[in-house]
Amino acid sequence: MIPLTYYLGLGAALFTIGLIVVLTRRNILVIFMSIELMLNAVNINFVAFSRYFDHLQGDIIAIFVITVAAAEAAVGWGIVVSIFRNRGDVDIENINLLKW
Amino acid sequence: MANLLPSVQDILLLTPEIIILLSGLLILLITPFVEPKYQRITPSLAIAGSLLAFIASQSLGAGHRVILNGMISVSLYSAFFQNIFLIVNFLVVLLSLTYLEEEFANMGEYYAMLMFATLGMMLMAASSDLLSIFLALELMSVSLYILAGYFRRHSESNEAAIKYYLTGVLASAFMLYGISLIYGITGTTNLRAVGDFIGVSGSLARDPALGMAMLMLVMGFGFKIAAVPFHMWLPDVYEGSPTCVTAFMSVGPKAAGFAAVLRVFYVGLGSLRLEWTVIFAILSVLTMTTGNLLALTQKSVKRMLAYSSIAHAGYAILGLTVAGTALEGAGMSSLLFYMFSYLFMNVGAFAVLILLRKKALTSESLDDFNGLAQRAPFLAFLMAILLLSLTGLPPTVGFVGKFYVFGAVIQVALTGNGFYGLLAVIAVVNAAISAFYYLRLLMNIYLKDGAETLTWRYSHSLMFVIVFSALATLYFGIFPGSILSLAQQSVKILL
Repeated sequence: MIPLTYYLGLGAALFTIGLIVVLTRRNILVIFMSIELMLNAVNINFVAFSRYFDHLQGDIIAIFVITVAAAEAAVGWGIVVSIFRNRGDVDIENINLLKW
Repeated sequence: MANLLPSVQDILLLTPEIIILLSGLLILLITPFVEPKYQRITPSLAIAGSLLAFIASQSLGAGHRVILNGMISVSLYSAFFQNIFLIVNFLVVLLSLTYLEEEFANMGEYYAMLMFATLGMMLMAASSDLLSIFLALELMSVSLYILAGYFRRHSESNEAAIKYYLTGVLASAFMLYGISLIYGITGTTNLRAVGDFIGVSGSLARDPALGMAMLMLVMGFGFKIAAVPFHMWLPDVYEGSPTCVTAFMSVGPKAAGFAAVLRVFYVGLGSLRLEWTVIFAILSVLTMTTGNLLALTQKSVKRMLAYSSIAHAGYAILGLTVAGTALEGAGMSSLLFYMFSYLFMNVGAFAVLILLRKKALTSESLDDFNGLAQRAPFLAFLMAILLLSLTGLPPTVGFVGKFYVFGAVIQVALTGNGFYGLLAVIAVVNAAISAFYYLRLLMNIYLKDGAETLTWRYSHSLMFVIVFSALATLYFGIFPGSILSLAQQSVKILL
């Protein structure tokens, strides 16, 4: 059996990769994908802990998280579509009307 | 696992939430069938829903019941916050009406999203489990992302929405990671059970992951309540969003965030209070100072109010730091009262901004208010009351709110804790700084001459909101006793 720490390491690594990509990339689509990566890294944590404790609570939380992530993604894409209609691109460097 | 199905009594305790949910769904359902000339039927439904829910929440009684398998705890504490949210919802629906009609954006979806955001906030204040807090928070946030980008043809509104969305989702991810660590350490997500487990067998020395989890939760909630250094999104989002949404966002989600923070840190992580009081004390100093200093430099009134709302969050976090000391009751009740006092003055100030505005979405500068007192003495007077309250001068509710928060800090300082003495000094200095930019606006209104540069958008509903807020600001400033004792009783269930 694979020990718990391996799963936690995978989760932490995916979360960190997601965070780095969010902070460094300029394309909104890539940022959205890496936010999904971060949320699913958390899911790995939940499922691994759930397996470790041998009860279902963590699995249920993971399903809730997946549902919430889907709802969030739907809204996020809606916002991106309206940005694209107004501006014609989705580069976050150009989204700079509001500052200071 | 015998009682998976909730009993009827349990469901009845959720009447206010159910009313809000049903009215939101009803609005969504009828929106496609409403003819343009009957457009006002959806806001009427929203108002009816929030009034009904308000009445229902008054009749729930003072009991404390944990229902739905420990997910929700209905008590005076949740009722106190729910009343704040329902009043905000009511006032914001009223001040949205004409604003949206002028923008040709008076559609049912807006009110439905407002109802769902309110539902999320109400559930957040009542949640007693990390999972239900997360779900309620997401319900609130997702609705607010949509509201922030509601003027979808305006680039500013788009920008506000995407900035709010990206930071909000990132904050959620951090919060979830923290929740997963707490779940991994304790094997549960119920806050009482987490608190008991950590109190008995957990400590930072034994579980370094616990400190990590706490930091992640501070970050996640810090984004939601806009504590510096997690505040960067706030000014842009407040400026770019429709002004009625800004009024809603500046009060509701913040109060909901504090309701959840208090529960998570006091009940769940109560035995780590030595650590988190220090963290929150630092956050509060940063938040107050940054918010006030940046508000000084603003030309736009809307953006100035955005920064001032950061500063107000800083004062409220002071209450949180006191909640981690021996005077926990005083700290928590002062925080609750501060949230209540903030509600009227802020919604009122934004309502004035809606009444007097330029054609474009971007807002009016300080100079546009020059000589307002000569042109509109009554409105100038009401604005003066609201600004005095935001400054924290008597006899307004803002003074009482600040008085109790600072008083709680000073009480801790008097017990010999010099650290809190320093906090009190910094807080008072900050209140003085904030007086500068609020009173500068007041000076522009009363002492300067200026031509009319703003368009008047007078409407009865808008005027009602302004008068109501100003009167409430004065009334609760002179008679704060009833709300104060309510706040003190409300926090008893957490003690």
